[in-house]
Amino acid sequence: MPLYRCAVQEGRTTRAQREQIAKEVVRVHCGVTAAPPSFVHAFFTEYPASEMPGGKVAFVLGSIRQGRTDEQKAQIASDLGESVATALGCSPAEVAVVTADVPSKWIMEGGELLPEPGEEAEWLERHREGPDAH
Amino acid sequence: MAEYVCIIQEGQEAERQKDALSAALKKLGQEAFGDDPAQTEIDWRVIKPDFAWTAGEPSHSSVVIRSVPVGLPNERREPFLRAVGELFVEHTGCHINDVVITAWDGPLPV
Repeated sequence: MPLYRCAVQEGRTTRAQREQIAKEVVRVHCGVTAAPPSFVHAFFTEYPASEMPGGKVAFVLGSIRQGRTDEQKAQIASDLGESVATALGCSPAEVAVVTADVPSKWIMEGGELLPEPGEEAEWLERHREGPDAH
Repeated sequence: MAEYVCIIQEGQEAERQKDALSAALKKLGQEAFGDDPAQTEIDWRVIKPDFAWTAGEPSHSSVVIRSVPVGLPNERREPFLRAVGELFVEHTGCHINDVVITAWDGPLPV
């Protein structure tokens, strides 16, 4: 967690574009929240253009830990929207980014409940052999 | 009706073990929440290669989301989450860091 699920138009993205967006998700999320990058997920799913919400080229739903401020969430939506639009060569109006809060105690990763925002240091120390190791 | 959504990676072990994982998840739900296995729905969503990334790199992660009773106390929630992680490790041989489990209060939003 966080998990950013990116709905994109079928056949509209290349591997390089998805990788660029995934790295931007890490940069934006961690830049705004100061969260560690190790467990930032970006999963893409393709849909026919006719089934895309609001006719968007990309629709990103970020499930993030509860506790972020409204300002942080607005910053994520704004910055990531710009980044995704740049990566896909479309206008920001063709991209939607929304976030949904999930309480930390509802989520387990690495075999432990997630820490509250700002309390990650000790948790990460116990999970040094994380996805970065792959 | 008990509901799970399992997001896994195409071509990885979790995909090959879907049947065994389904059976194990249903059994676990029966033990933890009294689910009727016949009334348990598991929605497997298989992500294509190059469509999943963790920390900006190709992902090995599986994500499991399960609806639970609203207000489920942590004394019941945490052991359930732990058991789901352990059964994925047991059946797929993955690292525990590669399993993300959410016990979502009420109907799933996905």
